[in-house]
Amino acid sequence: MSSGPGQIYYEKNEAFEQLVAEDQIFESRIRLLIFCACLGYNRNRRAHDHDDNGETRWMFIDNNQILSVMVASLAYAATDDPEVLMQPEEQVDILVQYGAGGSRLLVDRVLDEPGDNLDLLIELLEEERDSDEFSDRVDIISEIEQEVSSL
Amino acid sequence: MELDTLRVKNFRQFYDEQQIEFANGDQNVTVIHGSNGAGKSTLLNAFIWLFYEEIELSRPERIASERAMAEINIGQSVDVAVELTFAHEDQRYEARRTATFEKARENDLTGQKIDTDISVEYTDGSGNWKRRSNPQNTLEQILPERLRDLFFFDGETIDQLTAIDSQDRVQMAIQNIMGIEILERAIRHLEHVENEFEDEVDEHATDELSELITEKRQIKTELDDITDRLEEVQSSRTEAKREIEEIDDRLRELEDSRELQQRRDHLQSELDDLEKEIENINTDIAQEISDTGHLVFGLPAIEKTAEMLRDKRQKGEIPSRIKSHFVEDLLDLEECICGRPLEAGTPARESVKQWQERAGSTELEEQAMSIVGRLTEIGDMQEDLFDTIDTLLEQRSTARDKKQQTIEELDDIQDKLQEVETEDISQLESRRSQLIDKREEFAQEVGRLENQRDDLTDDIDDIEAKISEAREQSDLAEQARRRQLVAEHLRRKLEALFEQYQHDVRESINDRVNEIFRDIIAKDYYAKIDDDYSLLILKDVGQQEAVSVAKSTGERQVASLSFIASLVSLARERYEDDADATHFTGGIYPIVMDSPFGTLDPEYQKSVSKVMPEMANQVVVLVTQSQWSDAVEGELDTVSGRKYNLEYHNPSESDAINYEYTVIQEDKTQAEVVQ
Repeated sequence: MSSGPGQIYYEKNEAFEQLVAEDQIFESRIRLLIFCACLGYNRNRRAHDHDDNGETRWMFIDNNQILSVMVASLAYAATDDPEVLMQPEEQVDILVQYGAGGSRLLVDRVLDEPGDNLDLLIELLEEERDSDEFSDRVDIISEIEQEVSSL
Repeated sequence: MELDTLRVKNFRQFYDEQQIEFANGDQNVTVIHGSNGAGKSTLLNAFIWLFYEEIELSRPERIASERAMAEINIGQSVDVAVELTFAHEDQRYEARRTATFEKARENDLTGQKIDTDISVEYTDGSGNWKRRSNPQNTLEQILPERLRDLFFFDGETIDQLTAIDSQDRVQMAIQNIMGIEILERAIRHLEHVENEFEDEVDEHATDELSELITEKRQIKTELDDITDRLEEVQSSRTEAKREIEEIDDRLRELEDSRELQQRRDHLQSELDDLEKEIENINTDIAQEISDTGHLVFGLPAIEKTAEMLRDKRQKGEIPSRIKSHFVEDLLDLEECICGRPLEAGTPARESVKQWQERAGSTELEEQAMSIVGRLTEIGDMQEDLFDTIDTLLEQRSTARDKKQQTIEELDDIQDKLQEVETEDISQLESRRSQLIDKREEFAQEVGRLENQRDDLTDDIDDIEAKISEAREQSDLAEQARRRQLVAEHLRRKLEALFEQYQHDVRESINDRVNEIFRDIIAKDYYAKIDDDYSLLILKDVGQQEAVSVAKSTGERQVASLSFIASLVSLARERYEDDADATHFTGGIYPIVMDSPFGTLDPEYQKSVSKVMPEMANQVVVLVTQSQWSDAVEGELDTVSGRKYNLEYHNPSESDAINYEYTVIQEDKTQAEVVQ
């Protein structure tokens, strides 16, 4: 279902109940949704057939610059269309699609695995940190920032 | 209710007819002395038998005096009676319960009960005596059975009110005194009504609805079973905890274990701190992941977007030299900045119009600036995340190592205590070890049962939603369903009211309990009824923190006495206050206490004695001579309006006495005797 700014309808699986309400690892559902969307993008898990049983508000993203940059970047990376940076509705659609893919992966990799959920999450982050591209990527971003900072 | 005279005739060891007149007014304490076995508890039971026809003593079937039974022949009978005269709500009453026991054989000292009777007489408005047609109900109304433990109690055992698992008793006492069991009964009744309407819905329902109702009932039954089991396991767990605390107390007292137990206390406290530290570290790690964890996976998308922006920058698209907005203004004005007209259809206008498409978008530029402006921050956050997590993980690892060492040292202490040659200590430690295992098992079972209970509650909610949604074809079923919903609605309202009222009452009693408790206790402790109705004894540590203190039996007894006194005082206050008597009109009740000083040290005996006259309008105290210390006598002497001695005639002490019996003797002062 298409969600536009105002309300965001997303797939809310058991990861949201467990990691937000029970374990209190994520301070809000919107934080977890964005985490899942980034994970989904990173692991190429985009679910067009997602449920829309969860509801949150665009305002929570719009009021936070870092989250706004993240959501806009996901949308551009998914579409290669610079215009999407000016289209919050499109950004939300992409967010919930990757969010659904990422949260399903999170259930497999964290909730369904034996062990402490926090430690399993740390493990997941460490895997990405150890990848070859990771440190290069941080450097590239800094370079670009310097180059484009004259804007 | 104001007690006047109690007469007993051939009741247990009280041979023939004897009486006690109760003190009231300024000297409202009646003191009854008696050695162990002299009949103090029997006197307490005389009240209980009169009001409720029950005996809380060994061999309750032996109601008639053994001496009286021994003195009659086979076929003859003994009359037993307990009679109480009292005043209640401006009327005088005389209540009398009798029983007749016939001797069946030569050595029959119990007898066969051949007749019983109860009568209640009262004075009408003109002062004439009249007889109640429903005496048992009258007595029940005057002193309801649910209140009996509060007004007729054994002081040596009331400290149980402060036991860890006594929340139910405290809660029940509060409900009883405030009369809110009426609400509870209404709630139970409405549940019953709901079930009846549900039966009706079921009878007229479609197959689908009927199946849903059946399914709901099955789940409800399962839920009830799990709830019962949960209560049982929780109670066992708290009992295990209590027993461990008691063993720890004992190990602290015993010389051969004191040092090891003190070391264990210290290590246990360290272990608690380490667990708290690990928990805090985990919270910090979680906070980091929540705040910035997404960047770890989202970085490629940010990089791709940044590259796109760099590309546009290199192509000169951002920032563009000409803004689209500027071109639009020229076209609207139909004049170029050089002054050439830009009328429609002219080549000049077409030339300027082409710039509109090539000019940069202001919106894109704003977005680009917004993104670029955050890139360094994002990069830093990203790097900081792992640095912070690394540091926290290191701290956690250190804390976990320390925790492991502490656990090992605690295990060593356990082994050492089990090996102590003193039999008591090794047995205590073995028992403690078993209890700790059990406590762990109970905790796991509680967790499992709570999960099951929550799942089943969710299932019931789902099914109820489906039942509500199910469209009924039958009018009768629909009507019953509506009625069921009304009953459910009322029940929920009453439940909310019940909770609120109970909460208000607890708050009100809380202040009184503490006030009375602190009047008695010299230490810097205070008493409180917790949210879960535990009667706690607390001590302040720091400005906003209080801890439950290890209590001696004496302190627990004082807390329990304070609790009962606060209930009596609240009941009296409500009785005297006309306002707000929706559920409870209150009442004036006496307190009859058997051995209230039993386990108190002399200091507490004195303090309890001091507040005793304030505890109720009338106080009856049954004590042994050893409990009647100088301290108690000093406080109670001036407020004791009546004193009695129970003169016990013990057959084992004299050949002239064949059967035990007790004579009640009033202890008069020299002045009274002369008069």
